[in-house]
Amino acid sequence: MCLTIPAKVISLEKDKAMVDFSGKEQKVDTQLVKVRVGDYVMVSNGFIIKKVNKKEAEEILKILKNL
Amino acid sequence: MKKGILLVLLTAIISGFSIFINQFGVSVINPYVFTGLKNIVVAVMLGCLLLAMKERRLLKDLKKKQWLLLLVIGLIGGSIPFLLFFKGLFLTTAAQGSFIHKTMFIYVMVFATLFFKERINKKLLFGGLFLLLGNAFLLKFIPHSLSQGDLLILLATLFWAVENIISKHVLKELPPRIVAWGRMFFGSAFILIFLVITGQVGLIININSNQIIWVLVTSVLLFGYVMTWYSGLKHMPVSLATTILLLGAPITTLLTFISTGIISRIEILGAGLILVGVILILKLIYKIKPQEKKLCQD
Repeated sequence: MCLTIPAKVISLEKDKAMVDFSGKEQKVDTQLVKVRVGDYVMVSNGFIIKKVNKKEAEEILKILKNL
Repeated sequence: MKKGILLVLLTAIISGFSIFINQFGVSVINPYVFTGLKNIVVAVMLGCLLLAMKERRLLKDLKKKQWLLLLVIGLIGGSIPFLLFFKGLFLTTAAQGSFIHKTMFIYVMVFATLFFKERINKKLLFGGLFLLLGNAFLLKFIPHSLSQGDLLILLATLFWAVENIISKHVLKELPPRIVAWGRMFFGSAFILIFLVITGQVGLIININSNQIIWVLVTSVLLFGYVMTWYSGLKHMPVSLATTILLLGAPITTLLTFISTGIISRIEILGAGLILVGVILILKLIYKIKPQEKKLCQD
């Protein structure tokens, strides 16, 4: 349940978005949450499930990078 | 066994629903802090439940070996795999991670055959594979390679598979609420130690009141998840239980379709494969023989 980390939206196309997971890209669904390019989001089961604060997202990605 | 199947189906529904409701909540994005907090809250809830049911004595009467097994369940189910999973997700993508996690039923089937002499039933195996393939379509993703991140997620999934096997073994002697409490209590204790060692424990104090409410809401869902899961697992084969859990993702898709009215062709194809998987598993459940029913309760 809720096993996810932040990703950054890099492009949008209809109800899909391309997100960046620390250098790896993935196409995901935006039907649940409307987003804009540059937003940080949480992705689960192919859906963006939540928008998150940029500062917090960058902090957690830094923690994960250093672990 | 019907009771067990309904309970595990409820677990899958809670899992699918919990992803769907995330959009309405306030994020606590540090996954370690979020997981640790939820586990603590659920451990407290389960502790209160044990006290309310006047079952403190059950804990007092636990033998050393049973305490040790609960500790192991907390370690290899409630803490280490989460640490591996989130680090793995950092190195790979959510789709790849999610897909690898969904292969857990295969390892559980193998372990259950080795340790419980559960027979690998063809209908269950093919039903599970159809569910897995259907999930791949819903994720719009076919796995292609294994990176370091994927290996970490695979390792986490193997830990969870072993945890399920140990839990099924422990459930022969202990009530589900004790096993659930052990997983959450020892799991949260280990995560807290990890947060202290990595200097993240201070982040717990910094969360605001809205986030606290969100932690409580998601903890109620997690409480429902672990209670239905362990209660169901007690009454059915572990391989069947983990296969039914694959229905969590399609439930999210179904809820999204109900909410938005939009479904893509690839999702329809995925839903079709999942339906075939469900039919195969239902056929197995209704054809199960009395002696196998007895085995399910062991």
